[in-house]
Amino acid sequence: MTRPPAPKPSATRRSKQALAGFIALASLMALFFALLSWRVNTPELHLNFGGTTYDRLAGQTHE
Amino acid sequence: MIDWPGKPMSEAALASVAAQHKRWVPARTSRNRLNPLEALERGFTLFQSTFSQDAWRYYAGAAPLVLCFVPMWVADGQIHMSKSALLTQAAALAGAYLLRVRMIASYMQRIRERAFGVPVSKTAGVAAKLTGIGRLLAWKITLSAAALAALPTIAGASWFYSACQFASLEAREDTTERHSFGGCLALGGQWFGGGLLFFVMLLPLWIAAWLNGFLLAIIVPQLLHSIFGVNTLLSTEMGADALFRSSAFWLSLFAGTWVALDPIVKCTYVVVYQHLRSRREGDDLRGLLAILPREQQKKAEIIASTRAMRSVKIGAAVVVAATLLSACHATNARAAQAPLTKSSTETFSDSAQPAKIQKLRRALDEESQREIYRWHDADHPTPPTWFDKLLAKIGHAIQRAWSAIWNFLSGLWPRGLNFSGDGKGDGWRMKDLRLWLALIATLTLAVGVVLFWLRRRGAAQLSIPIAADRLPDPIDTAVASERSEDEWFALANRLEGEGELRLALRAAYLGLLAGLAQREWLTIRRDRTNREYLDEFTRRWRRRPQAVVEARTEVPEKLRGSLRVFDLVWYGSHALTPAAVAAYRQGQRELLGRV
Repeated sequence: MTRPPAPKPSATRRSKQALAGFIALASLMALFFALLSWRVNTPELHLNFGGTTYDRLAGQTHE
Repeated sequence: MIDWPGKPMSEAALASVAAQHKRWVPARTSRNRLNPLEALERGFTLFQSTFSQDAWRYYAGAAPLVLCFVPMWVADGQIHMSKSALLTQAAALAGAYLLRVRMIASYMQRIRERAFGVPVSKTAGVAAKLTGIGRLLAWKITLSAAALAALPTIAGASWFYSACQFASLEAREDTTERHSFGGCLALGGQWFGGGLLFFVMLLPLWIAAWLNGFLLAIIVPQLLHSIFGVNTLLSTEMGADALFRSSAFWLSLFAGTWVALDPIVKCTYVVVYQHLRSRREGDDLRGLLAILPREQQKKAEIIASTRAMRSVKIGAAVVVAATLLSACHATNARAAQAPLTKSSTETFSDSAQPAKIQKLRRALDEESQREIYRWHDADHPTPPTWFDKLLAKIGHAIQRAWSAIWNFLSGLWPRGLNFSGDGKGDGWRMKDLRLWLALIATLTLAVGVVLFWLRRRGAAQLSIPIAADRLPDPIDTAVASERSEDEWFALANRLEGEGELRLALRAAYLGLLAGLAQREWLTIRRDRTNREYLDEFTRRWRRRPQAVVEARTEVPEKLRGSLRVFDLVWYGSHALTPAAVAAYRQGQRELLGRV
């Protein structure tokens, strides 16, 4: 039971598939860029320690 | 694709075998469908058996993306990055993703080759490789995005997720068969119910792995602090609070959970893919037919083991039946003569059939040994790897240790004792010895309990006069702030006069702490240790303005010495003399006079 080999795809089809992969990777890169930009541009969301350090600093008048 | 070697399996022969085992058909039909639990079990077995040879491909592909993303996430939250730096980071992450997709696809193909003998297709030429990579990226990214978008529906997410896994196996193959994006979705649809159940079944596994990592992150710093005294940021309350607020922690936790279970999921989908391809190309039917002789052999072995018991009953039944039927045998003999002659001719014509069946069974048995049918077998007859041997060795060692402990404990239990005194063998003596050992252990335990109780009672009696003096908690240093420096030293003086030397030294030490706190060199808090007081004092002492021109370490060293003496006396129970206590008290006063 041997399956006949599939016909080879044309050059146009190959280039389209490679281009689709490149576009998908570029989209992923754009997504990463947007995510990291959001992270950099919103420091108030993740640098807010609230009252975490207040307790430690209380009473330390020499520092 | 696979080129089948021609095995003689004629349709007529298959039909005869199928007819012989007609009553097994429902079992075969149910077994022909791979349920998710079975798939997960075989996936786990596949992962275990191929771990030593192929798992590095998965981890080499998965680790860079995680190891790049989490530090970048942390750094971008702390430092303001330029756009070009962000672009570079995004490009690095995209590259890591590309590496991940490629390596994991390679991992799945290698697994499939190793487990089922399906060769990895080689793409010739750079253009073909680029096309394969492009196809793989486009399919994987699209299907992953679709799975994420459909996550609220669960069923849609599982369908796209299954198709995404099949894409890893199909997208790079281009030599013998043309695969398509729709083909992956169709394969996912063929196992839609199983995929959904498998997806739901994975949830508790994911949660268990996640909880494991979470508990480790919480407990390990505390254990290090408690056992080895290692102080880390995470062992403090503030550190734990900061950890929970950190998105990088949660990201790492989810990434760790994913990487822990994902290779098993990949192996499961390799098994499922092989199963679906097998159904599509008819290999499953050939596989089912091929394993019939082995199953029949197993069944024959089981029957043979019970035959000895049955033969007696059957023999007795035959004797009774023969006795009962002998009476009517004579009357029925004439009527039965004609059919018997007819059946004798049929028997002669069928005499060649057993040889034919045996030949067919041998052919099927040979055919069933091919790797392509292996997904039918619950137990994979692959030779054990070094990892399997190591696991087996560890398992045997644990079993031996457990058996030894259990035997020892059960040996201590005095069973079968004979107090009549007539036994003189070794067994009787051993049991007698065990009885004595058990008695000694019981008595030792009882004496220990009594001593412990007496000690506690004595301690309670000793604590009465201390409580009568209304002295503060001897361990809690926070009580130092309840009295002034002078009051503590006065108390030390009084206790020294009463002969309570340890308490006097402790009062002098608390006076030192109170004096330092009054001068704002340290802050007294209930959760602080002596070491933390020393660190705080040293830090503040070094930061005072006149520290530039004076010796910096003299006073902190004196304080360190005072703390050490207190620790040795209070916690180490070192002996004291009245002169030593007086000198210590005087030393603390002098130290306070210098700060």
